[in-house]
Amino acid sequence: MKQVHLFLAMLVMLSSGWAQGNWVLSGMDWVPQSSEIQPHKRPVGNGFLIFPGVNAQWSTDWLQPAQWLETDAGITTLNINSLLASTNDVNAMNVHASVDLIGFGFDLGRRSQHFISFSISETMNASLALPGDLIRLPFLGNAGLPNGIMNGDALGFDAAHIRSYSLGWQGPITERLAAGVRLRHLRGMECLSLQDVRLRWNTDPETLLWTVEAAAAIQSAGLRNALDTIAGNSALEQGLEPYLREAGDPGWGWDLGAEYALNEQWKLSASFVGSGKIQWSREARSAQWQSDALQFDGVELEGWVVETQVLQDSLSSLLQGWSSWVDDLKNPDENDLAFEQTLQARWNVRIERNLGDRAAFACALLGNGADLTGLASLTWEAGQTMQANVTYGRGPQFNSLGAGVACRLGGLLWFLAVDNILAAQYVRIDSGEDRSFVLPWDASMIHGRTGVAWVIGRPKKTTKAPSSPPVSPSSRWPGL
Amino acid sequence: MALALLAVGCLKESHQVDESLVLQGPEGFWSVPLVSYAVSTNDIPAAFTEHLASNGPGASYVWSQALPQQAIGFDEWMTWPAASSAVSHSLSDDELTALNALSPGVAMQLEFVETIPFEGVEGFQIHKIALASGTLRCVASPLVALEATTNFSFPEMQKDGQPLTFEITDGIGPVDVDLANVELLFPSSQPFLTVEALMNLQRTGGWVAQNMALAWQFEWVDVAIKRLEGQATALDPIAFEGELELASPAWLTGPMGLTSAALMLEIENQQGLGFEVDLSGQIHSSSGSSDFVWLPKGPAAIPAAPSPGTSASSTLCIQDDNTSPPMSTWIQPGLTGLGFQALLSISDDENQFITLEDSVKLRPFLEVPFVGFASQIEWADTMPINFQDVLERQLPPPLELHHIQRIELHCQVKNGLPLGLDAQVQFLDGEMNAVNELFTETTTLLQPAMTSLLNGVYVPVEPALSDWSLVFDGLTAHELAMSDVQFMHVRFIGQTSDGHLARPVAIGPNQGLELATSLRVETNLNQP
Repeated sequence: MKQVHLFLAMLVMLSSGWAQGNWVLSGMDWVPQSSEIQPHKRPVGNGFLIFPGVNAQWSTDWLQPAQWLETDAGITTLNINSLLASTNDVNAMNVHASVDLIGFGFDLGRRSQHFISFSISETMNASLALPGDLIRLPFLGNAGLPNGIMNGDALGFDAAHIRSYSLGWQGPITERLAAGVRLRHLRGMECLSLQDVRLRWNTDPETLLWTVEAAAAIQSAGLRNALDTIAGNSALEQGLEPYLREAGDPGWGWDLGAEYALNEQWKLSASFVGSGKIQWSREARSAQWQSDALQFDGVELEGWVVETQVLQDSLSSLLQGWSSWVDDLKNPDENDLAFEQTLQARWNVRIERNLGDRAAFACALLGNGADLTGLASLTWEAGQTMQANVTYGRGPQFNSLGAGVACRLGGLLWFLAVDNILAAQYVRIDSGEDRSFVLPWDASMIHGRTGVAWVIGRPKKTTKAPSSPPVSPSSRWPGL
Repeated sequence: MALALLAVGCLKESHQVDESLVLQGPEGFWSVPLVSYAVSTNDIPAAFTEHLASNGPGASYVWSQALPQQAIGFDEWMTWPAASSAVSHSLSDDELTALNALSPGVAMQLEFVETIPFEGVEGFQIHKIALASGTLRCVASPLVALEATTNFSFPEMQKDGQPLTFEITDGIGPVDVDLANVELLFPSSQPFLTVEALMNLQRTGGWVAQNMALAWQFEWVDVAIKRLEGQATALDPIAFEGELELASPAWLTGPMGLTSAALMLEIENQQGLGFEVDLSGQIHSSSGSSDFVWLPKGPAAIPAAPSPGTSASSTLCIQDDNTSPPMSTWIQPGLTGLGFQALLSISDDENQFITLEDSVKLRPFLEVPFVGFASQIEWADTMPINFQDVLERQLPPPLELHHIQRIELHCQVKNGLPLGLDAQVQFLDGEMNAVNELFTETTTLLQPAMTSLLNGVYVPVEPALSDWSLVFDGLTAHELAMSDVQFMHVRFIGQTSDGHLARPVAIGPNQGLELATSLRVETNLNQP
C-alpha cells in the first residue's frame, strides 16, 4: 500500500516520542542520550555506541477525559459543561517523535578531558492549535458565544520532519566550569504549516447579521513523496538506504550548555537546546488565501411587490456572492519560493544536590516559548548496574509524575523513561464498526523513551567537587 | 522504586465510551438570518414614479399626471367671405351732357366714392384685419362709345401705411392686386370698405347713351387673414373637458386621504384675448363611494398675450384648502377616474387680437402631494421558508432536531414611514394553506417613524425600531421543526397613527421599511 509512508509516520508519531520532554532522562546521566538535554554533561564512560531507539510524546492542554467524562452506576456521561470549562482560548495538541538511528562518542585528549559525540536522528513534530471558540461553537451555538463572536484566528498547524546530524563536544573550561556544545546539521524532509489564519464568524447580537471572514496561509515543502499514493515511489518504501540518502533541505542548529560546581554538593547548570533554522526549498509551495468579509443578512428582497423572479434573482445573487467568496478562497496566491523555518529553542536551568554517593536531588526550570515548567527530580543508583529516576513536573495546566530506569549488563545499557505514568489510565472510545481509539484518562502528556547503548567504561562514584583552595586544573571533570 | 512506579502506572482501561454515552451539556443558541426585506419610497414602481417628484428634502412626494395638451384654434374666424364685390357708377345727366359736349378723344375727369360691404365676425368688433396673402382681382365692365381709365384707391386697405391703389382700363383684362401684408382698417367698425375712384373718360365716336353705368367687379382670390384686431363683444364661451383613468397602486388596499390635492390647468395664451375660466373637477371612485368634487372658487382671469407673437402663461389651480384641517381627497383602491371641465369666457377688453398661427393651449393635470393620512395601505409578500430544512442544515452534530427546546422567529423592523403598521405573519404549507395550529396571535403594531411638524405636516425624521418574536417552546418547537411549513406570508397594514384627519403626514423620498427576519434556536443536549 502506498499509504505506508503516511501510516508509518503517524505510527511513529503516536508510538515514539518527543525530545522536548525527556524530563526523566535529563536526570539519568548514565544514559548517553541525556546529553541531548544537557550538552554540558559528560557522558559516563570513555565512549559509547547508540543503537536505534525511539522517543515519543503526546501532549495537550485540553483533551483530558477525566475532566468531562463521568461514570456513575455503569452509565457514562459526557459532561460538555466541564469540557467547555476546561477549554482554553487556544488549545494545543502536540505530537513529537524521534528515532535515534545511530550515535557514538569517545573521549579525547591527553587526559581524556574532552568528549566528542556524533549522532543521527529523525525527528517529527506536529502541533495543532485549536481555537476555543471552534470547540465551543457546536455546543453553545453561534449566538451563544460571548458577543456572538466566533474567533478562530488561533487555528494553526505545524508539522515537520527533520533529520539531524549532530556533532558535539564536551569538556572543562575551568576546574569548576564545564561546557558542552553541539552543532547540528539539519536536513528538512517534509514540512507543512498552516498559519496567519483569520477565521471569524460574527453574529450581531441585535440584528443577528452574520459576518464571515476567512484568510489563511499554508507553507509546505517536500510533500510530494509523502502524498504520493503510487506504490513504491517513496524513498521509505524503497528501503532504508534510499530513505537515509534522501537529502532534504539544509539547515543548521546548535545546542549549548554549561555547568558550574558551587561546591561539593551543589551544581548549577543551564542549557539552551533545539534552536536552528532550515531553508525549505525542495518542493516548496506557499499559498495564501484572502477574502473580503462576507455579510449575510438573509435572502435580500426589495420592492413593493416581491415576485417569484425577484426572489429567484435574490437567491441567485446570494449564491453568486457566496460562490464568488468561496472562489476567492479557492484561488490563493501561490508561489514556490523557498522559505525559512526557525526552530523553537528550549532552555533549562537546573540546580542539583548530591545526596551522598548514590543519590542526587535536582530542581529545574524549563522554558519553551512562553511556557514554563518546573521539575523536581530524584536520582538513585543501585551499585553499577542500575540507575533510576523519579521526576515530578508541573507546567501550565498540567502536572506529571515520571519515572525511568537504566540497567547495565556489562557495557550494554538499556533504559526506559516515561515522563508521565499518570497517563497509564485511558479511556477507550468506540468509533463504530468495531473500531475504537484511546485517550489518556487524566494526563496532559504522555511520553516514553527507550533505547539501547553500549557504554565503554563503567560508572564510578561521583567525584567530589573541588573545595577551596581549588584542586589542580588538570583534574578531570567529572572524573572517572 | 522506579520499577514499582512503572508497575503502578501500567496501562489500564478506566472507561469505555460507546453508544450508551449520555450527553450532558449547556444550552446552545443558534441564529441564522432568514430574509431581509426592504421597501423604500425610492423604489416605488416605475409606473407610478414616472409621475412622481419630490418637492424638497424632508418633504413629501408630489404625484402629478398630465393630460395631453390641447390647443384651441381660431381658424374659422379667419375665413374670408367667399364673395365678389361689385362697384358701379351711373353717369348723372350733368356728367352725360358734359361728356357728350366734348369732342371724341377729349378726356374728362370724373371722381366718385363707393363702398364695398364687408362681412365681419359675429361677436367681435373688428378694428383691423391683417392679411397674410391673397389677390384682389378687378374686372372692368366693357363700355359702349366710351373709353375709361380708372384709378382706384382704398383708404382702409393699406400696405406699408399707404392706401392700396391701382389703375384699370376698360377692355383690357383684369387687374390683380397683391394683398400680401395688406391691412384692412375699420376705424369706426364700419361694415364696408371705401373705394375712391378717379376716372378719365373720353368718347370714342358716338354719343354716350343715357343711363350709361360704369361697373367693376372685385373678386377676392385666396385671401388669408393673418390677424384680426378689435374687441370681442358677445363671443360664445369655449368649453373644454377631459377624462383620465388612474390605476391606484396595488398596495393601496384602503382609502387614502390626501390633503391639498389639486387640479391644475396650465394655459399658454398666444392670442390677444383675455379669458375668464371656470374650472371644475371630480375624482370618481370605482368602489362606489361618493366622488370627490373640487369646488370651483370662482372664475379666474387669464391675461391676453401682450402683442402678436408673444404669449401669456398662467396656471389655474383648484384645491380645497379653505377648510381647516384641509379637506382630503379620497383615493380608493382600484381604478380611479379623474374628470374635469373648463369653460373659457372671453373678456371684453379693448384691443384684442386673434392670429391665425397661434392658439390657446391648455394642459390640465392633477397634482397630489403625498400629504394626508392612510386608513389602510397594505404590503404583503410570501417568502419561502422550510424550518425543517433550515434547522437540519444549521444544527451541527451532536445536535439533532429533538434537542431543540425553543425556536424564536425574530423579526426586526426599522420603520422609516410615518405610518403605524400592523405586522402579521402567517405560515403556509406547500399548498399555500395557512398553518394556524402553531400559534394564535401574530399581529404586532409597529410604531411609525418619529416625525416633526413642518408647515402643518408631520414629516418623518427618524425611523422607529420595533422587534417582535414568534416563540415556539417545547413541543410546539418540535412541531414547527417537523411541520410542513413551506412559506411565510408577511403583511404590513399601514395607517396614520392618530386618526384620519388629525395627523396629516408627508410621504416623501428616502422613507422605507426594513424587515429582518431571523431564526433563533435554543438547543439543549440534555433534552432526550
